Amino acid sequence: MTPTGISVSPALQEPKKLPAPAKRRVPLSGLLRSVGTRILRSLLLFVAVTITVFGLSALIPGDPAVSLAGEGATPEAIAAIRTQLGLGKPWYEQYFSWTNGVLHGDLGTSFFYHTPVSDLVMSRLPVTLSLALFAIIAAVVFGILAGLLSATRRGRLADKITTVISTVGIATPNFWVGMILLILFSLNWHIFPAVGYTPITKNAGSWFMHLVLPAIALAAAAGAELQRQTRSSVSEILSQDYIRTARAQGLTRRKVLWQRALKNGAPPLATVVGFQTAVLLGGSVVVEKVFSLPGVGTLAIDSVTLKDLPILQAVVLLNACFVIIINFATDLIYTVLNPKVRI
Amino acid sequence: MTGAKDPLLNVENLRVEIDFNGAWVPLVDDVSFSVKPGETLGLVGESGSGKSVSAMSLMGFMGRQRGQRLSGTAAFQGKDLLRLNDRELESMRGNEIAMVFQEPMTSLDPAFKVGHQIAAGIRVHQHVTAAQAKEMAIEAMDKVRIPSARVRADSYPHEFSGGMRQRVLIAMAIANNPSMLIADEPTTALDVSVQAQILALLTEMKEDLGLAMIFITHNMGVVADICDRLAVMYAGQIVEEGDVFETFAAPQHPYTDRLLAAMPSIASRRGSLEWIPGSPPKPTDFPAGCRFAPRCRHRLDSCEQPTTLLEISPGRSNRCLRGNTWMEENES
Ligand SMILES: Nc1ncnc2c1ncn2[C@@H]1O[C@H](COP(=O)(O)OP(=O)(O)OP(=O)(O)O)[C@@H](O)[C@H]1O
Ligand SMILES: [Mg+2]
Repeated sequence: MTPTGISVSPALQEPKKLPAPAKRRVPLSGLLRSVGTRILRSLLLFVAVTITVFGLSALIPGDPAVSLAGEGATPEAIAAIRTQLGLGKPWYEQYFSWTNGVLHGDLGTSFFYHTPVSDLVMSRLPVTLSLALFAIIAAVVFGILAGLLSATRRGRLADKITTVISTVGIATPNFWVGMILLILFSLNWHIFPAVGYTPITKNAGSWFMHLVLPAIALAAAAGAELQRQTRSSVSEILSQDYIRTARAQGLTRRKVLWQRALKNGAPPLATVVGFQTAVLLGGSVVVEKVFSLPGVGTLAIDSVTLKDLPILQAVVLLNACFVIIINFATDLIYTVLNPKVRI
Repeated sequence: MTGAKDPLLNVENLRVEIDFNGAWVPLVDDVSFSVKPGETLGLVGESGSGKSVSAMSLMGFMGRQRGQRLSGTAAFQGKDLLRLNDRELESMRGNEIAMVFQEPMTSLDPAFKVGHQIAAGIRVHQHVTAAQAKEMAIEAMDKVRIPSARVRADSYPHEFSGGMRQRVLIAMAIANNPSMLIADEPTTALDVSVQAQILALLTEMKEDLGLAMIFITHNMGVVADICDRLAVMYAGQIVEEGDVFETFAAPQHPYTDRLLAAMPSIASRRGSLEWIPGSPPKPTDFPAGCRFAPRCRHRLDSCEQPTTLLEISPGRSNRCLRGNTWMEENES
């Protein structure tokens, strides 16, 4: 262009040609294909997980049956374990019969409790799921609210305080948060019960009170991560031209924040929520132990101490399946939330 | 033409300053102009001369944040735009004064259907149902000649071309029948052929709806095409204001003279393509006297004095300290 950036337009003319046709949407088959690919990927992942979990038994040194049965085990006990593990058969046959059992809900029999592993896990699952659900809801609500607070007050006191809290939240291990909460709110101030669990079917109030502290401990890191993500993506969105356009139409700051910024920020937030849910499920193992919650995590830790391999396998498998499902759902939600990806 | 009417917008001594490492630096200062109902004022000047800052401060987008401040007055329908509170500002925006921005590609929200975005602006100002607002949005899209508006209302911005997006933004701007439109370089980002279409559309809208318009541009040719009056900005100030024909025929300020001389059609008439050596000063080092003086070939020692925009005849003002005495030197 010219040195001063001043230019001259061609003579005005009426539009001659029709405007360019709009880009077509990707046909439905595209959506089906992308969902299909994701399902296939999840299935492959599942197969890989079963192989890994099955392979856990190979990690046991020496004769697995003897070492699993423990000291002073009767020959009958050792033989029982040997049969259950299918030792002696080729590994692939062992694998297929184990997987076949898994697919039919047969996760083996506990070496220690001598009851079906699936029953054990199912009886503990409500505790873990209540805790995880509680925690993720708390993390989402408080994380996003705190993130919005910082994003709209960037660089000011409220932002600085929130950011310090979330940095601490990310850096502090959940069991540590749990123990501090336990000492302060249960042992010192007696606001919440220290340990234990009441099923919701027995006493909803007590169920709630028992879950508050462990859920906070579990939610802290995820909430902090969400605060960060919300802060960075929302403050970036708020500086976009289209936000100025909306403000120029007369939309209030609040409307722009809750409708425009949140919807635009939703895809990355959904990804973080998905990832943090998976992380949080893993973290629940330790938190359950700290608060003596009779959940799957406690079961897992005990099974390690007891060398109860079938339980350990079941818990690992269950967790892996949750993660696969969460990832699949996150991908799907991301697609639905993003109009450019959406078909 | 419209000389008898009272101005719709009367800006006086607008000054926008920013906190630059603890010192207040004026981005624009002593900006005064007025726009009558139905009139189009072209705001012209080089990049960085303060056109956008002036427009944004009228809309409340500049000068109100932390580290910025604002003075002067902008009388519009009995109110001072510079002193509206947040709520008044929001009820004015998009309703009495609408704005169209330069970048159609980034000015629409990618996450919402365009019909919804237009309707959202309608529902802020008019008590209508969502369905009625949607109908009105489709009507507005029709008005700016978006083909099959009813269908396109349900499309997302990424499904539109740049020109079509600018039409959507114009539909948004006119949806509430404002009395004034500020268009900040609405065609700069578009292909040349599309530019002409958008200019034609804006001209048509302003005539149909009786809109007053502030049209910000780099482009003297566009000013000649669509503006009634012209304000030339240099280094945060207006150096000359007047009727387009009169100003083109006889520019009063040496800077305007140079700008016009740079237009190919005029330059060829004068036999040369002339340019202004040097570059405009930054807000942090605006000269105390005439800000154009360092680049002006008619400069005298007396040009070091502070300047004011003086009315030289009804509807025409000039900031040159030499009035029009510099003109004789041009002939030689
Ligand atoms: N938010 C801001 N903070 C600091 N300086 C700013 C800000 N906005 C604009 N400026 C400065 O103010 C001056 C005027 O800018 P403005 O955007 O109004 O120019 P303009 O005339 O619109 O130019 P262009 O033709 O490039 O759009 C420039 O020097 C610019 O750097
Ligand atoms: Mg600009």
